[in-house]
This record gives sequence, C-alpha cells and structure tokens, in this order.
Amino acid sequence: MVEFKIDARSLREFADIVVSLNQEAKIDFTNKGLSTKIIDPAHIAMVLLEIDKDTFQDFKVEDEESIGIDIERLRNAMKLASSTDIINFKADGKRISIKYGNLSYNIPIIDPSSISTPKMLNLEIPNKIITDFNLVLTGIKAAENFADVVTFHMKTDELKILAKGESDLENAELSIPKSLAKEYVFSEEAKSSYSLDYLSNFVRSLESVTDISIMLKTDYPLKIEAPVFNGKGKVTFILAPRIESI
Amino acid sequence: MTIPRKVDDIPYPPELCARCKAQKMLCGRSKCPILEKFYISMNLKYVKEVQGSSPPSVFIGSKNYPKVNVGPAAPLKNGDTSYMEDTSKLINLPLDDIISIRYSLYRGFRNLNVDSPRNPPSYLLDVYDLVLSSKPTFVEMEYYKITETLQIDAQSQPFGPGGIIKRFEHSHGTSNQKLEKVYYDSDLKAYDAVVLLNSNGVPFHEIQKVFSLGMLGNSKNRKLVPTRWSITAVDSILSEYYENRIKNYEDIDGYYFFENHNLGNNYFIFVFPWSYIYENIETWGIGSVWVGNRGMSIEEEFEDGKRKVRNPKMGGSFFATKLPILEYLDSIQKKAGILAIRYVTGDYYIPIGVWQVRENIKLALRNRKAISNIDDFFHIVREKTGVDFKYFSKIYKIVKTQKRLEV
Repeated sequence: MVEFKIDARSLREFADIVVSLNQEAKIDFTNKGLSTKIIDPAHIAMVLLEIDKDTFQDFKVEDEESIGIDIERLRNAMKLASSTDIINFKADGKRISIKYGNLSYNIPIIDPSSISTPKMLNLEIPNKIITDFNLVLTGIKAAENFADVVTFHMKTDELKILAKGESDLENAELSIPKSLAKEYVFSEEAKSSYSLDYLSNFVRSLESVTDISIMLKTDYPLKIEAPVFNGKGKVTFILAPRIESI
Repeated sequence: MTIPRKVDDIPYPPELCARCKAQKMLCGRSKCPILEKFYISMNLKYVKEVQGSSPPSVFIGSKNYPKVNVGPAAPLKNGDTSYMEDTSKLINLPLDDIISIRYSLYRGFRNLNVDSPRNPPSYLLDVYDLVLSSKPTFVEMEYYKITETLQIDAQSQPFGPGGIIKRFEHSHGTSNQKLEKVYYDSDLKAYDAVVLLNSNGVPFHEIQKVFSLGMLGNSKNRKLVPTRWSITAVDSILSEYYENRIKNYEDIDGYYFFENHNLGNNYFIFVFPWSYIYENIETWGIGSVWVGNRGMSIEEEFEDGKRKVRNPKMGGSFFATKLPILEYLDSIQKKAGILAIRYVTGDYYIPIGVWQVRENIKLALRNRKAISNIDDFFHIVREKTGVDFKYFSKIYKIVKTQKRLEV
C-alpha cells in the first residue's frame, strides 16, 4: 500500500513530465520517496524522475513497491482540482484513489511488468553549463517558429541555441554568454542537433524549475538535469541526436 | 459547360483530380468529367423488374444526406452469386471482369432518414433480413423507373443502375449467426461490435454492410451510414484497435520489404524497427485514370501515435492500406514503423473502390523479403517505377537523421 498527500500543482507537473514521453509509467516507491524511468515508444528520449519523500505530506509506503499508472487517466482525475488543492493519493490492491475537496476518483492500476522501463545510460559528456531555465526556454520557443530541429553549439565563451528556417535567410539564434552561466565547464567545442518535438514537450512540462544544467557533445545524446519541486526532486532528460547530413 | 472529350483536356492540375477522385467535386462541376465518359460508354440495360439472387448486397447513397437512398442490390440471374461481393475472390480477376460483374448488380432504393434504424420501418427490416442471410438469397424488385446510372466510385465497390422500387420481396434462408448475434445485442457499442465481428473472422465487406445499415451499436444511437463513409469508418475502427494492441509488442527484428503488382496498381511496403509511425505515398502515374497525360501526381501523408491523419489527401486508400499491415504486425506480435507506396499506372483505367487497395496489400503481405536498410527499399522502388520516392518521404528523413537511444 502507498499513501501520500501532495498539492495539485506538483502532482500535475509530475504527470506532465511523464506524459511528454509516454502515457504509462511504472513508478517505484521506497520509504525514501519515489522514482520513475520513462522512455518514449520510439526509444529517442528518456526521463529519470526522482522525488524525495519530503515533497509529500504523510508519505507512507509499507514495502518497496512498483505501481503501473495510466498517467492520462491520472491527469483526467485531477482536472477539476485547483492548483492549491491538496490531493490525497492512495494505491491499494488493484486501484488508485484520488481525493480532493469532496471529490473522489478511482482509477485502475496497470500491471507494472507490462510497462517497459529502460536502463539508465552511462553517458560521458565533457561540456556542461548551468544557467537560468527561462533563458533556455526562450531559445527553444524561438526555434519552434522556424523548424522541427534545434541546434546547440557550445564554444569557449558561449552556448548558442539555433534554428534554421527553410531558406538561409530565416533563422533564430539565442546566445548565453559564459557570464550568464552559474557554472561553465568547457573542454571541447560541441555542436549537435535535436528534435524539437521531444525537447519542446519536455521543457514545457517543467513548472517548478529555475536552474537547468545542459550537457553537450557533438552528435551525441543531450543530457539535461534540473532540480524540481523546490530542490526536493531531480529530473534527468536524455535525447538522442539528429544527424543532419543525409 | 461542355464536357472535355479527354482527361487531358481538363483545365486543372492533375493533383486536383487525384485528391478529389470524383468525391469532393473540387473543380466545381456537378459531375466528374473523367467519369462521364464511362457512363456514356457502358452499355446499360434498363429493366422494369429484377429477379435474381442477391449475394447479399446493399447500397446506401450519400446524396441528399440525411435523407438517403437505401436498398438491396441483385443481378438478373439465379444461383450462387456470393463471388460478386466477395472481395478476396474478385481481386484475382481481370479489371474488365470485375466491373462487368459489379455493374450487373441492380440497385433498388427507398428514401429513408438516417435515423430510421432506431425504429426501423418494415422495408428496412426486410433489408436487414436479407443482409443477415448466410447465403445468396432470391429477391424480386419492381422499379417505378431506373433513375440512377452506374455507381463508379473511388471509395465503394462499383454498382449497376438503380431506382426507387415499388415492390421488394425476398425468400428466407438461414441466418449468419455471427451477424445476428451483434444485431440483436442492443447494448453492445458499435466500436466493440465491429471489433468482435472482425475477431470472429467475419470478412470486412460483411462488417461494413451491417455497419452502414445501422445494425450495430446501442439501439438508441443506430444510424444509416452511406456506403462510401462506412468503409473508412470500419477501416479506422479496426486500425485503432490493432494499433493499441501492437504498441506494447517488441520492435520487429529487421527491415522487411513486401510488394504486389495487380490491376495496374503497384504496392511497395517497408516495415522497420521503430514505434508506430505510418507514411503513405500515393502516385498516379502518366496515363492513369485521374491524371491522364497531364502529369504525375504524388500525395504523401504521415502520422504517428500521437498525431493522427483524419482527412488524408489521397482519401480512403490511406486507411485501407494501413489496416492489413497492422493486422499483419499483430499476427507476428511485433511493433514497427510502416511505409507504403502505391504507384498506379494506366492499366487501372477505371476506379473500383478502396477494397482493391486492402486486398492487394493483403496479397503483398504474404511474401516478405529481408533487406538491409531503408536505402535498399527506395532503390528497389526506383528500379521498378523510375521514381526516387525518398525525396517525398518524411520517414526517410526521420530514419536517416534521428538516432535512437541504445537501451
């Protein structure tokens, strides 16, 4: 049995992050908190989400347990909650009950063994920048206007987020100079492109993030890490690159 | 406005006709100038009365919706006429034979509101009875006058002439129990009924008939659906069902190629390890029915698990191509990305409906050949058609550029 309380805003953010990749999730509960690994069906992107039990109120886990949840259903069950509502979550036996205000919902638990979970990849990425999340978000939103692919280019003194339109005359570029970075680790110049489909969905699902760390290597998976839920949780996102020359 | 003598004289780009297929009337005329020549050239026999064995067959028009023409179809002969309706047999015949068989099916109509299945009048109950029978059934129809010419359609099967009938009688035979069971189950949803019939092995054309007559679903919601629309509806329902089944299977274990060349239609299919994505490219080559010598027309549509194509440029063939491939993947319990190319030549001189696409794809799926990558696929297709389709393909771009995580 698993039981906890959490504000609707946080649970919604959790659901949005997961749903950006897959509709179903296997969530592992221990007495320290919860974690989940999600991979999209085409194996292009994955997310690791770890949340400390301090994020919740009255967090109770009897034994270590894995629960399969249809996240779309969970989102529907929370549709009527305002963001400050406290949600009572309880998973027992075959169903999950969600209560807030005078409302209560029940949704079925999915067999966790039917949900494929990825192994975490061991990536060696030499470059890293930690900077303001909103700055990066602006760069990605600007790229969405032009293309379905965005390019990250890291030089000795700046990170550029670029997108090219159909003609050479169309493009968008956002520059984050080293001076705006909270941490800037540079060991080699790196330039790599990624599908905006996946990246936009992911970054747009982040609500409680202020700082974001980006790790980049040429034609290699992109790794993004960010503290979530006031530093009591952590999200890691990995996205396979696009190789632009056919 | 005069009717052009030849397709080539039509003053519109070929793509317009390839997208319209005499269904959307994109040129603004009330009759399709391409099909007009067939109506003129066919030798029609106008009769006052039809006595013959219905396979059984029915037709529901889309004109004047929601008051539509509904009724049975039957030839002027007796005996086992089931082959006239059975698409898995028709597909093996030459085009000339298919159309002469189908044009010998005379249609009888009564004009009914689409809501009538909720409280069926006795005429509709008679039609239901006919469709439920498991064997060809003798019918008699007496016309006021034959008013409709041939039904030539890119979507539905061809039909012969038709008109409003004074009198309709039929003999009674044994019923198809699988159909009967869902017909009398007024709590079963139409979606679930279609899925159930399909898993019970009922052929597509029979499911589509009972669907279009409003014989499925909750009795309060039953409705007549014009034949043309019911085909895509059943295709979509079954595709959705199979897509949900395959999404949790493992990736297919290699790159596979399938092909079939029949009735002037050339099909090339490529399946590869990926999650569900589907691309359909349809090409009307020089000399083919909708474009003539005006030029080639190429239409492309792409969908993935999240964003579905609801109104494809090529019409119902998009759905009719997808269904047998999904069925195939379910039968081998694998998920895959799907790319299907249709290349039509001048030998396909008259449209006979999307059943032809569905049956030809099924035939193609009987032989699979392992190839080494997507470039091989486009190379084979280029050898056979002279067209390098990779420049039109979104899947080509995705597969060549998007790396996957190795987990």
